Amino acid sequence: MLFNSFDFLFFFPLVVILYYVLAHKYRAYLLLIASYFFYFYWEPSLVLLLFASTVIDYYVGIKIHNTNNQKKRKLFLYFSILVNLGMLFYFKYLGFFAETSFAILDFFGIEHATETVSQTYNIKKILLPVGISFYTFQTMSYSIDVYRKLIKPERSFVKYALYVSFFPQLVAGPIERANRLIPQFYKKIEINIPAIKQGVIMMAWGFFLKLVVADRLGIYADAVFANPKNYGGPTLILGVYFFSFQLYYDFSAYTTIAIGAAKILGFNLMQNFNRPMVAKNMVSLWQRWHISLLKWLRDYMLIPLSKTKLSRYWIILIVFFSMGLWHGAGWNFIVWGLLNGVFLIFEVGTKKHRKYLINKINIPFLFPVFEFSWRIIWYHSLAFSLIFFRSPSFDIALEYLDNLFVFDNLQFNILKYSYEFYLTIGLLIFVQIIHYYKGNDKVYELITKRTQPLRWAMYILFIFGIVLFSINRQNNFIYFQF
Amino acid sequence: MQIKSLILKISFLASLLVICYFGFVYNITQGHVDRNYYKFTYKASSLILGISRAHDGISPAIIEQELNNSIQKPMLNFAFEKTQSSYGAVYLNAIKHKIDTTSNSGLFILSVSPGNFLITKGLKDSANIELDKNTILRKMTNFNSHPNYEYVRKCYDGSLYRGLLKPQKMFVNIHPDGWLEFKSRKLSKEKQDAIKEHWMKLTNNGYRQVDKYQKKI
Repeated sequence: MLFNSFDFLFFFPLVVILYYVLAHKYRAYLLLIASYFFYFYWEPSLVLLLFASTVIDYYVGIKIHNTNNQKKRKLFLYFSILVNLGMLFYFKYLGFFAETSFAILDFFGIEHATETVSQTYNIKKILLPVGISFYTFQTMSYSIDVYRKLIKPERSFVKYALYVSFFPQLVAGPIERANRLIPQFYKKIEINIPAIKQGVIMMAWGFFLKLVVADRLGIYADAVFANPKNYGGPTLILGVYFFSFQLYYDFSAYTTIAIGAAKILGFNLMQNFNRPMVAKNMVSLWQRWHISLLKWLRDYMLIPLSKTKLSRYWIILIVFFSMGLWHGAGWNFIVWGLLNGVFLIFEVGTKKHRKYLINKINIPFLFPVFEFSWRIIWYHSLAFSLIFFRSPSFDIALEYLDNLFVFDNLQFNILKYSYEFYLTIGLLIFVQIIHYYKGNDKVYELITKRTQPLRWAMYILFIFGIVLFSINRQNNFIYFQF
Repeated sequence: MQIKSLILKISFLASLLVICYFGFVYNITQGHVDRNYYKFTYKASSLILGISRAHDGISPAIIEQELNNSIQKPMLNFAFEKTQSSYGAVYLNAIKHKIDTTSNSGLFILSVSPGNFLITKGLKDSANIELDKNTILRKMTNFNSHPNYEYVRKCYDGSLYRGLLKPQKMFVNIHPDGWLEFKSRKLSKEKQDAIKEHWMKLTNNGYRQVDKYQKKI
């Protein structure tokens, strides 16, 4: 079920009402049924996969805990990782790896064999389960934490299954940790009016970001990325800027709705974005962008790798390579991840030299100029690396880059009506101002701290805004494909 | 008490949202929705079927006028762009919904061109069927009502505020009988030159691409 669908508008209030009507001991059951229904609504057969992943890690967690034999504990952990990564590999990466291997074999003239394999195993037909990258990472983190004795295994299957499938964050995160979420299922939750109000405002703001801002930016970005050779440099450059903001507002909209929905039910999900667009540099950006994934990679990849003999630059490259691959099975995602790794290495590697240079120049009024310039640099390196992220294939990304600096056509607006173009820019500036001052997590402060008449005026204005300016099509959230 | 007040407030705002939504949807259906909207507003005894050639090229009003009373009215141009109305199961099902089954002397004009039978190259039947799911004809279940809320909800991809603006000058005229008429325009010399230049650029661009591929080969 999509958050931005009419079905969700009926589903969610019903769940909330039933949730607060039911006694505490039945609430976990209700949320579990609701979560499975939420997922089932999409593609019924894929529920089995979610269930299988849940059952395996539930038992693995208990087994790891129950044995003191280090070898056995390791074996169980490997089993869990193998199953989760195996599922990911089969559903998400098999097609990509097959295609790459076939291309190599084709190069050596082994064409017939590859065709036969592809047809026999029907590789292209494998359907990617929505949210698989999110929930497999969540279950893996659980098994690893149990193995590391950071947490005790969850004995209640219902609570554990709910941790894996909790519908607000099931398909696009935040990737929660067991020690944060599961204890919340045990707490008796009373109706908390201020929290519900905050949750409703956050959900409404998330819908606004998605339906009015991100989808509107997407019209422009979709057009240019579909056929980059048809457009001149200025259009393509603007397409990159628009996509960078579309991606941020689309994904942060999902997270804001998820956090808001959980808040209404009395749960606190972890923050996934912390105003990344105000970051001073790349390091700060990656501490603010998709926080739950980056923390996962830090805890389960970066820290263990830093205990090896690898240099920190190699570690950064490996982590960013994995991040790219996590996002999608394609060379374009890998290149996107690696490019960001290289930018980060450049930033970390040149930090001392840049500082030395600035101190050497020692003109105080130029300091803010340097700082601002660095912001421009990191933003542009991120934005232009997104050409690889957004392009449907690596070849199209290259085509995009090829046409990027062709200035024979100085047209900016490619939308049907020019006022749509100016509206897009106006809305972007509006949400950027709010982003700068509050961020999505505290947007409710803009409303709750006002006088009652002003609050109501804002509510009504907001309703008119969302009804009138929404893009009237149910677009998937970008991160659903991962 | 606080809970009651909260529920009341949320219910009020939710109702306002729903009323606003349907109000503005109604408003837009009274003006211009898009080029296909009228095709989903009433049952027809006579139909024009096919792809864009029929969509742009055959006017039901003219045919009705020419044939006077020999066909059962109303006639509707129920042709779409080729990605929407290739001949197949989806189109047939839509036609079944469109036809007024009480009529017995309807006229059916079937435009046939290669485009009617196109499918995406390299895709298997099952994948093409999947693609069909995104067509307007497949999404719709209500083919005959005005205002057609379902159409706006599922197929209109603009924003509702457009219904509040003055209609833009367009070089097409959308008739309520489904015909999409292209207006002939007298262009100034400057505009003609601009269009010519634009096409030249596109052509050059095209040649540039061809050159590139040839070099690669």
